[in-house]
Amino acid sequence: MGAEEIRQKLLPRFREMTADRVEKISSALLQLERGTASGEQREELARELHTLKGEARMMGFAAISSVIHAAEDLLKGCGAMPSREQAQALLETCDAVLAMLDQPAELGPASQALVTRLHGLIGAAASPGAAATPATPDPATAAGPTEPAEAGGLRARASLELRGDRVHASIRVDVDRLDEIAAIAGDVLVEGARANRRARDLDGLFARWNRISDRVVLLAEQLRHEGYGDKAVEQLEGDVHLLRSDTFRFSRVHSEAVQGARAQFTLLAERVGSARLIPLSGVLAGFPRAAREMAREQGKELDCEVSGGETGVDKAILLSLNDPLVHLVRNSIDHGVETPEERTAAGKPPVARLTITARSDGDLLALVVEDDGRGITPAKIRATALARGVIGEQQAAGLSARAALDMIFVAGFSTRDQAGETSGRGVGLDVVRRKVTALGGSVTVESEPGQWTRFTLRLPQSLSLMKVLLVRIDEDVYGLPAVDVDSVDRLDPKDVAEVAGIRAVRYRNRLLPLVALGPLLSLNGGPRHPRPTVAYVMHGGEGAAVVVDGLFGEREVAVKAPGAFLKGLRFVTGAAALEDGRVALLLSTPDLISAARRLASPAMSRGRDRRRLRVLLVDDSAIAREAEAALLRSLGHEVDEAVDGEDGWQRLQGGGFQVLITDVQMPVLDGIDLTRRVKASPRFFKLPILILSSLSAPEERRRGVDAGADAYMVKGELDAETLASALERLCGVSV
Amino acid sequence: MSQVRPSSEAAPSGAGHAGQDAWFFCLRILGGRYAFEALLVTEVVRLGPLTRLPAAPSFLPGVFMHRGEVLPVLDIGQLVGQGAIAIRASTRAAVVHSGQWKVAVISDGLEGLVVIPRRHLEAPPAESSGMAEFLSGVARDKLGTIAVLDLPRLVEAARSRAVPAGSAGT
Repeated sequence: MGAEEIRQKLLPRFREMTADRVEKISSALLQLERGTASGEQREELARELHTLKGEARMMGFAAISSVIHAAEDLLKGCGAMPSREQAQALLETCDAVLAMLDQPAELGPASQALVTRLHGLIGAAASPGAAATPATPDPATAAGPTEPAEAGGLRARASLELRGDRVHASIRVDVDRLDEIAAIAGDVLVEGARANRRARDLDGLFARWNRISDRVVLLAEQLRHEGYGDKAVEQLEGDVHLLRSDTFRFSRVHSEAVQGARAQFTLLAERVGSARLIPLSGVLAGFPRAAREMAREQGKELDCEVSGGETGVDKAILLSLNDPLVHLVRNSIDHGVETPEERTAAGKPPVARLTITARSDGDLLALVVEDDGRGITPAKIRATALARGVIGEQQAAGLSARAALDMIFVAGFSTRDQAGETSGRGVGLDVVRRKVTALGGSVTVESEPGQWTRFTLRLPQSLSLMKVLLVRIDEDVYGLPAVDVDSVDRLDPKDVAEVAGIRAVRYRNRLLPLVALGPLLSLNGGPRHPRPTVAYVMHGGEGAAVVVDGLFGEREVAVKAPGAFLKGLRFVTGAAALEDGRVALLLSTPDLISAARRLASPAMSRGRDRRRLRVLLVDDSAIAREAEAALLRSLGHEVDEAVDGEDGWQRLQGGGFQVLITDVQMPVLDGIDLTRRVKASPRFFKLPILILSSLSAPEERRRGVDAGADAYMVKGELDAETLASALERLCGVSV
Repeated sequence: MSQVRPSSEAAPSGAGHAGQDAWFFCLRILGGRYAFEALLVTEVVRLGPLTRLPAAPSFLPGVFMHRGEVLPVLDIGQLVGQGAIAIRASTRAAVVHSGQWKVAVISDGLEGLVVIPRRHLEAPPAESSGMAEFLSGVARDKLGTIAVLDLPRLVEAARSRAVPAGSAGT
């Protein structure tokens, strides 16, 4: 397939998507102009523009790309609220972009004029009223469409292109509707399993009835033998016989019918699922050429290879996959791939290689974007993150190489000082992560400095059905994606080791952090069995050994979204109905593994015999409170929060707290006075109090201790281990 | 005495309801009578078996399946720090639709619909902690006092405490 052919193939979808994007951008611009846009909407606007720019470049629309770049500049320059004139120019840009879709891709005079106009407006003072252009778009100021020199005959060619579209023997179905059907098919599947269970119960009932009818028949025979048998007994015997055989026949027919229906339901769910699977080639085909040209524009030589295009993927995922891929490829070209000179100097072939590989990995789709460029240096990332204020100095120092690499996915992080046209505006990789996570997937990065960088996207292939390993914590059931579960075994205490302060177990020649799922999820204290069941979970090159209370089997489940209220809740990616009516919550493997890594410290290794405490946390700073609560929860404790001393005191009245942790400087009632009040009350004087303050002066500590606090910790020095041991010291002995 | 709080403004004024009356859904929580705007309740259901949420605050004791949907259970008692509502096999929940959020509110007992003449609604006492933080008014009927809750605000507070802004997806 020639490059132009590929472009033609992708063109209709690009047009469709661009129209959608432009509509989104326009409405966001209108809100921005009105001053009603939230920070999130502004970010979203920036991302949409950024994505549109990237796509336009990939499709060879240099003019659109340049115009959008100028629009981005203007948007950055005009702060939170653009003037009417600026907003008008931006809106007209939107119109122009739509018109430019049907025009030559190169930067013509009209587009150039638009770029100049947008640039001219950067920094222009708000000029309400007088300078405002008419509310209705003035065709003369818009680019493209009214520019005969550029449009004219070439536009006719564009319409010829459109006529070339094939008519497909298929119909377009709204993805939402397909989702609805898939959800119903999933529900029906569960209903089938339930019916099957009921059929089994019914069989049990019939078996009992069978036994009783045997006794009735026996009794009737006895009566007959003993000469009591009259016609009524004989008739009863006959009726029982008949009823029994009818029951037996019904039971068999019913069981068969239920099983048949169940098989059909399964088929239905599978077919609906596969109706949503579309080969990836539609998205991937355009990349080799686009990537090559993009590299060439930067004076770089690149060979881009795509494999696995035949892999099928859910329609909803396919639609959302384009943006992350564009970002990743662009990122590789901008930051990874070196110039031929640099490559030669480094002893590499002058032409760089970029590979995009897709493959099915069980139920998951794995997409790997790998380049043989300069790689990513953790130290550089650390320094940049620090310089941009993404993290603090202390955090930077404690950042592991792996965690440092992960920083590139944080919003606001961009390693380029000069914003390149292609990427480096601090939007990009965070978009990738956000989009992929929203789809229930993950994105990870690995790199060998100087050698290569590899991004791995893992996404569910189908959104409707997923194979999961169901595990038990107490009586509750949770699901782990089966593709992430390497194996399940009994844990031999002999295999557990403490390495560099981390509790770990050796598995397939590597050490994995070992954690109990119950405490990890703040659900219970962990299994009591001396050789508990352990699931070895792997995800994106990382793994953990997760100890569970028991197994509930492996099966394919219909995945349900957990509902808006729970969206974003840590650990939970979805839910599935079990045939007994319960809900199995599906857990996110990346969340589990990252939590396991944090938790496997020596303090936590004693988690199994440490109690789960109910903590009242009093802090007026929402941010600090969140961080502290998260830390406490990561230690397996239950946290109730109060916003000041008075609020804390009120909450304390509800009872049930085992420790009070309080800040000092707070409105209404400060931490010192709260401590005094608690320690003076006959009901609570035994309650251990830990003061957590940002004040580290010795006199401050003394003030806290004088008020009756049992411990005093400084916020800046807070970490999981010291907090865990302080709590253990305070609450470990008493009950 | 005649001051009317937002909850009654939101109550239906037309559509067959007398403008003089406010409709509330009333339930008992930890010995107190509480009510909120009746229109927010879509139905009353018996709780299915609960599955606990990982790393979730205590006011979200779990989720259950209802009509093919996963519904989180909200324990208002725990949210305001007054203590947990006991969940039994017989526990019923009011399915509440507030804005984009849908939750099942549990209680110690449901009284159901209560119609209060608007003139019997009073402003809440000026307190800002515990349950008082979420009060939008106080009503009286034959059975006594009812604390009228600003349920949308309460549900919003529950959501933002359960999933702090910016933590989504991390």
